[in-house]
Amino acid sequence: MSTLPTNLAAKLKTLGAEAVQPEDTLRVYKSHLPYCKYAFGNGSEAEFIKGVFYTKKADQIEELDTLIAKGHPVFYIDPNETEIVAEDRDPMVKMRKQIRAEILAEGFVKTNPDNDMGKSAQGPLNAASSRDIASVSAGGNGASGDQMAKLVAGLAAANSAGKPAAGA
Amino acid sequence: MAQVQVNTPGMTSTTPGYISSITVRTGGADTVLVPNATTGQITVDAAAATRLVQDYAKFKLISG
Repeated sequence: MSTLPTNLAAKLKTLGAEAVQPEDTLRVYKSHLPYCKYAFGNGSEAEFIKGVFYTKKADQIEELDTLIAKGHPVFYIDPNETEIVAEDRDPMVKMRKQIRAEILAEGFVKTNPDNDMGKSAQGPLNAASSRDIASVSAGGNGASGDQMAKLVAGLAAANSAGKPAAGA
Repeated sequence: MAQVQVNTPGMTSTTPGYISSITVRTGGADTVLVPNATTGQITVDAAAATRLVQDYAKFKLISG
């Protein structure tokens, strides 16, 4: 039985899956409008591009949080994406990191000596019913449909050769 | 840049007639502006501000 160690993340980190040092995290704000600008009280501007604005400035975070808490009609916080690592704003970088982590995790599970999957070889198939003995003996899978297919194929071959089928 | 007040200060976003966003030609592009929730102001270039306050009596030029 394959088991994942509880400290997988820590182990992956030592393997280099997250060779990135603690990075800048940005708050993510979204807009129902794909592109818009909002002027903060201090004169700075938030530019929502593709409906998203990232910031780490405390005053901007406070103002936007207040607006959203009051039920702003345009801006909102996506509960699935409240913060983002600055580097991950590039979707290609984010995807590469995700794939690298998945590959390392997969490799870790395969090479982990704790995951002893055992050794076994596929033995000959045994017929579960006397009805399937012929099929299994002929190398089939024992399903009655398989046997029928072989019989039909044999009948067709006999017909095409001009010989009367067995039992005809 | 100029500040134009498009909503009455303190007006809540649920008030009928509240301008939640406005598209203005400013800085050479059509820009969707969301008024500041507290002051009700938007930031546009001088030419756009002049035009807005001249054409719409509700809008007020604050600075610029």
